[in-house]
Amino acid sequence: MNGIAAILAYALLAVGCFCALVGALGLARFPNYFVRLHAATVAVIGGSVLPLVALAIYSLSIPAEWDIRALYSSNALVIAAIIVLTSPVGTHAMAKAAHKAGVPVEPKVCDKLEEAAR
Amino acid sequence: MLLYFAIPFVAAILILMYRAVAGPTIPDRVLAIDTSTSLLCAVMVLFAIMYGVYLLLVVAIALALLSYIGTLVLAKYLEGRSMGE
Repeated sequence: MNGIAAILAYALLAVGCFCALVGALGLARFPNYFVRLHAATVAVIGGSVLPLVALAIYSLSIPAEWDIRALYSSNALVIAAIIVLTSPVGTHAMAKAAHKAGVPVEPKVCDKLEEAAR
Repeated sequence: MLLYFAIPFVAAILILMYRAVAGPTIPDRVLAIDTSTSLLCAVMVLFAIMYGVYLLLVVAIALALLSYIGTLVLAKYLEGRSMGE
């Protein structure tokens, strides 16, 4: 039972490491702010929420008392829930504010919000 | 074993710090700080489980909530409105 939990947690952590690195590289390399927002979402949901769920599973398999394990696991799940609920709200608010503040959309293909504001 | 999983996160945070320093506009910096705060929460919980420090879990919860509030306040500020509207 403990071995299965640890293996599942290691697999999820490996996926999370990959997502964090890919998201950070995208945030460093993409051309403008609104494309970088996409990479940041990969880094937050894939690179932060997924490892937190993995750590919640892993902490059930550590050699400790059951209340210690439950404390670690529930706290990791609470942090994952906070991030998954608040990160899209902040991202949407920031994107709308940035568009309104006139952040340039450099290789522009289509800007429906600017057409609607006209 | 668990310690090696912290290395990619720290590398990702360092790359995000490049964007936070070099970002051409203010929303770029806010986005980089927000993303690195989320990654830092994961690293904190990892260290808390690995070394048995309960207090880091509470700090991680406070950090996640504080990053959300900061992002919303800066969005309001960039939009040019006050907090009540």
